[in-house]
Amino acid sequence: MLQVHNVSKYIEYGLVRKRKKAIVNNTSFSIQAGETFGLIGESGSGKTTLSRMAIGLLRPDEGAVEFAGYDLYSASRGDSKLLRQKMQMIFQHPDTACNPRKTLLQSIMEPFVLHPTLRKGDDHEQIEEVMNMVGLQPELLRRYPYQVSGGQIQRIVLARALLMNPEFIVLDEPTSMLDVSVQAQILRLLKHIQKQRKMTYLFISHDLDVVNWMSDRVAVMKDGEIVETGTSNKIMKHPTHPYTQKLVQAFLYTDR
Amino acid sequence: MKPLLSFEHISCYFSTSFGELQAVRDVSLDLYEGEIFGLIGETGSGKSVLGLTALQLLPANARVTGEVRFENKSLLQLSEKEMRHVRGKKIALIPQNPASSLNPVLKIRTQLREAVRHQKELKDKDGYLASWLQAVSFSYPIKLLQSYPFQLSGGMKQRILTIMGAAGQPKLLIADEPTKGLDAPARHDVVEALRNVCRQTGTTLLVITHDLHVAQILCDRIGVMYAGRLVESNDTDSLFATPGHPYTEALLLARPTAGMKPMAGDSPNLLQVPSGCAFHPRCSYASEMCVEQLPPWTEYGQKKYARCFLHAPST
Repeated sequence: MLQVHNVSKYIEYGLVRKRKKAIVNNTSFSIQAGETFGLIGESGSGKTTLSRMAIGLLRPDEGAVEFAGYDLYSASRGDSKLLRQKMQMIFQHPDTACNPRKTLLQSIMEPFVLHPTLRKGDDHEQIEEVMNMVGLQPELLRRYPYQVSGGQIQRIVLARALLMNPEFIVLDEPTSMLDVSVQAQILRLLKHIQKQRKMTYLFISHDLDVVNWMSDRVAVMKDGEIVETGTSNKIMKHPTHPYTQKLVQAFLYTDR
Repeated sequence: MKPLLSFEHISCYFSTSFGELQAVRDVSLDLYEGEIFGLIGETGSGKSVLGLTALQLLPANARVTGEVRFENKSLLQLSEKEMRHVRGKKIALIPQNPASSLNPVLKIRTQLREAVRHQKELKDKDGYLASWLQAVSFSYPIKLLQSYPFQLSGGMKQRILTIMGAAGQPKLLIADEPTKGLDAPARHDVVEALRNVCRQTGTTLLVITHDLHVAQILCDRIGVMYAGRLVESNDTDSLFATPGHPYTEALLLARPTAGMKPMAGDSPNLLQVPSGCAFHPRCSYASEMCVEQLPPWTEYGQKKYARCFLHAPST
């Protein structure tokens, strides 16, 4: 479904002598329809940059991204508008996900403003449907973002993404700011919706247990490159790359 | 054994525009010398507020009742001037959010030296600081002293803050969410640093965290808070093996390794905390009694306490 071919992204730094450094270096991967593809690696390894390129938010310096047969960065305006509707992203920080000056209803209505074709009759009916799907009362939408909890915002953000009828969602550490009990609710919900709507996920996290539980396949990133790919079971139990071994060990470490 | 620090019936209220909010409800807790005590619970359960109470660092709209005893002195009665001799020297805080807790325009050396300024007898302060840096596994301490906070990663900043607290050689360290937002390798380094610091100097550590994994590998004893109340206190191994309170049990089951079973219901609204045991709407063992009365704080085993009717003597 999604194919990323040899993408690279560089930053230039230095005031006098310009130097280049690769954030993502010549990386390829592909995601099959209906699967959850996990991406792990430590902070600064390029996970977020890679995922932003995969979803069309950041133009790669080299390489191409193909989604459902379209090249993301050379598609026509009409095509890319459609593509953007089919691909959604859910970010890490619930605090910054919604405009603080708008009510949640105004925030959740935004897809309708940007994509009027999505409107099918009664707006409120459609909103009620997605709100039920994420397990929230539609009355909650009268509030402002600061009046609801982080877990509730993440659900509202998910509901907003679902309004667009996406086929592919990038989940960039959607639960790292939440409590364990809420995390379990959100992740179960994501899995349930995936089954119901036959969704494809790219799931980014540095919590290896969470990635393992969510994903079918996992890729490990280090310094802008994918060093190992495999089924989540294999990565957790029999990592082959030394870096993966180190990462898994640092995570599991329980000796006192 | 006499406790180093005791919270005695601490309650903490905040006046807000929606009415008075009670963040901590009648919490009594003893910390003993040299132990590592973890305080866990979800966002808004009052664990950070309780920690800050000991240092009188709460905002102006907070009202605290009860007593905090430290070395037989009552901390809440001390004036601001007297508190200054306690903060940093007797009790030090490792604050939440390393990114905003360091001064961005001062070198690490300048900031760390502030922490040891009151140690007049110390001649070679840089050497002393360097030895601390080595203790938390920094390989180039001298080079590090010359750097600025923006040159360091989140895990490194957190370890600097750990030293900043520990270098003043306090009796008690309070670490507020020391691993929040860190990835696995950085988290490992910070946990290791905290443990080394405490074991080497015999410092008592109060860790406030919502990361169950960190609590498990770092702490000797753990207290669990829910909706402002302490609902369980237990030693780490038995807490994870046989949790005493249904809330702890549900919390443990929600972990990814335990199959990620979500807890029923939503977190309580602190302005309208449920009657009786605050956990009763979400509890699978709840009976009518739990709705009407507050369960007593019961010792049901050696150093095992829980606030639940399952362990109360009458049932």
